[in-house]
Amino acid sequence: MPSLKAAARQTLPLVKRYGSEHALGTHVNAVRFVGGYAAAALGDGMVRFFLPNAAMTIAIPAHKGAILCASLATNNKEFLTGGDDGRVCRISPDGAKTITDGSGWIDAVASHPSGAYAFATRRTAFVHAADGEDREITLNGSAAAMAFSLAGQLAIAERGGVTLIGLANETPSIRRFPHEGLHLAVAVSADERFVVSSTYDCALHTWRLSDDFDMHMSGYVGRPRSLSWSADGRWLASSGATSVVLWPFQDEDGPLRRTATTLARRSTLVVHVSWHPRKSMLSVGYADGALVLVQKHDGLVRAVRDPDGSAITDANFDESGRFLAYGTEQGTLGIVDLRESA
Amino acid sequence: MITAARQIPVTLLTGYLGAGKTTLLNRILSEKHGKRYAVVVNEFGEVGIDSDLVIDADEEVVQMNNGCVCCNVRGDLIRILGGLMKRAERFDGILLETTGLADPAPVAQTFFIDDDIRRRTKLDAIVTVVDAHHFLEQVDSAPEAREQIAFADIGLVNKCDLASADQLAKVEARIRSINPFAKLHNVERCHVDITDILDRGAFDLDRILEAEPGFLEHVHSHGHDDKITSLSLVSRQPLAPARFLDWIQDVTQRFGPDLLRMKGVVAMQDDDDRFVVQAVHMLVEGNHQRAWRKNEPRHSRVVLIGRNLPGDVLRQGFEACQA
Repeated sequence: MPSLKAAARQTLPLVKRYGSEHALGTHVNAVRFVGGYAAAALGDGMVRFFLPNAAMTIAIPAHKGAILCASLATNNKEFLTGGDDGRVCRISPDGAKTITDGSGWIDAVASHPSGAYAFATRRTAFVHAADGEDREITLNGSAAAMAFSLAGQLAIAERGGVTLIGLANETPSIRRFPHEGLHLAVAVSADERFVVSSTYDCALHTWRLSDDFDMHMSGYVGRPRSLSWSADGRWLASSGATSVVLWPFQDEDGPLRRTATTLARRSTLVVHVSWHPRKSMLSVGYADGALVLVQKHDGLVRAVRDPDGSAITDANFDESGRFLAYGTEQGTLGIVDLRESA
Repeated sequence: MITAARQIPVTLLTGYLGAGKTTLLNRILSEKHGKRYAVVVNEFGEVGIDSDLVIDADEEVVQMNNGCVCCNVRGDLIRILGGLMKRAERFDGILLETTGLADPAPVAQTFFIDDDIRRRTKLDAIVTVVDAHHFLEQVDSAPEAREQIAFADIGLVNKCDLASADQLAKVEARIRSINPFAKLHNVERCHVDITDILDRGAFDLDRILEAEPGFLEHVHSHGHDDKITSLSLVSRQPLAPARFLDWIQDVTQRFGPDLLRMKGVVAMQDDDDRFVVQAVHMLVEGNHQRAWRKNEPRHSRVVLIGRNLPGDVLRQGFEACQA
C-alpha cells in the first residue's frame, strides 16, 4: 500500500515534483528552448538562459526597453527578438547581435529554418530571404503577428486581414485575404492548404489557399490569441475559451461544418496553448496562472502548476518533448522535466 | 498566493486644435509628484515632451464586427497598451494625448470592450482642454469640439487670462448645455492642481458620480439649438429592476450611434443598494454600487448626452420604469 506521503505527492503539480520555478521580476514575454537552454525574453530587455536540471544561468542584455516579440531562429540555436527600442537582435547564450537598430517599436518577428527572417515596424514588413535578399512590404496597418509556414511562406496578421508573402520566386508573390477588423495571430497549416487568423472580434477566420474560400469559427468568449498545430498537422488548438478548442483540419474542407473538440475546461480563460512535438498532448495555460497538460485521446488532465493570479504568457516544449518551459505576466519562469514525470 | 495585477490608470487628454493639450501634458510631467508616466502622443509636435517614455500613436480607428455600427476601437492603442504592459513596473500611469480633431469615443470603447486591456489598465478620466478665447466660435463650427466636450469628465477652461468675465460665463454655460457632469476648472496656461485631473476614477462604477458630488442636485438649462445636448431624467419613486434594465438596453440599442455618454444612479424597488450604470454609445455596463446612506434621498437620476436625443420618448420610457 502506498504511504500517505507518496499519495500526497501524487496530487502535487508536476513543477513541484519534477521542475523548478525562478522569479525574474519582470514580464516574461516569450519562452523557448534555445541551444538546449530554456530561454526567456523579458520585459526589462534581457534574455535569460537556464540549463534544465542545473543551476547554470546566463543573462544577456539585449534591448534597452521591453522585448515585444520573439521567435526561434537558426535551427533553434538563437532567439530572434524585437524590442520597443527599435532593435531586432539574434541572441544566443554567447551574446547578442543587432540585426537592425531603428526607432519604431518592433511589433512582430518571424523566422524560418532556411535562414529567412522577417520583422515589422509601423506599417512596413522587412523580409530577409534565405538567399540574402532584403525586401520591404507596405502593410495596411501595424502587424500584430507574423509566422512562416513550413514551406517558407510568410503570413502577416494585420488590420483588415491577412497578407501571405511567397518568397520562392525572384519577385515575391503577395496575396491579401481581407476580413474587416483587427487580426491578432496567424498560422498556416503544415500542408499549406489553409491560413487561419485570430480576430479581435473573438473568432477565428480561415481561408483555403487553393480557392480563397473562407470560413468563420466563432463562439469564443475571449480572443483566441494563441494558436498551435498538432505534430501531425491534423488539429489546430486555440485559446480564448474556458477550455482548449481543437479544430479538425484533416478533411478537404478543413473545419467547415465540423464541431470543435474542447478539453481541459476550467472556470477561467485559456490564454495559451502549445502542442507537444511528438505526443498527442498539449500544454494549456490559463489567465489565473494555472498550467496543465491534457491528452487529446482521453482528455486526461495533469496539473503542471497551480494558479497564482498571474496569467501564463508563453509555454513551449523542447524539440524532443522532454522539457516544458513557461512564463507568467508577473515574471515567473518554470521548467519541468516530463521524462521524470512519465 | 493569489495576486491580482495592478490596473494602471490611463488619462485621456483631448481638446480642439490649439487648446493647450501639450502644455497640460508638460505641466503634469514637470510637477514634483514622484510618479512616472508613459506618454502616448499622436505626432511629435514642435513642442518637446519632457518624458523618457514617449510613444508615437497613429489613431487607427477600427470598426468592430459585432453588428454595432458605432462600435469602433483604437487598433494602435490596443497594440501600444499591450506593449507597455510588458514593462508595467517602470511607470505609474499612462497619459494619452489625442489630436485636436479626434473623436474620444473609440478610446473609451476600447476600454469597455477589451478584457485584456481592462485587466491591466483602466481609463481613469477624459480631460478636455478648452481655449476660453476661441471656444464659442469653435463649438459652433466644429463637431469635434462639441464631441470632446460631450465626453469630458473634467473640463479645463484654459487661457482664462485672455477672456473677459462675460466671455467666461458664456463658455461655462455653453459647456454645461452639452455636458452637465463634467467638473470644470478655469485655468491659465493649464496651471491646475494635478490631483484635480489624475486619479479621478471617472469610469469606475464604484465611484461613478461620487467624484462629482454636485451631479444629483445640478440643475441645468437645455434647449440650446446645439445638436449635442444633455437630458437629465429624475425619479423620486423607485424603479422596477427588470423594466429599467430592458429600457436602458433598448435606449442604447436604438439611440446608440447618437448617444455619446450616459451615467446614472438608480434606486431599485426592494433594493438597499444604489445601482449605477454608464454607457458609451451602445456599450453599457451597470452594477450594484453600495448601500444607500440613511440621510440620502433615494432618487434615481440618469443623464444622457447625445445628438438629437428625443427628449419626450426618453422621458416617457424612463417614467414607465417606475415601480
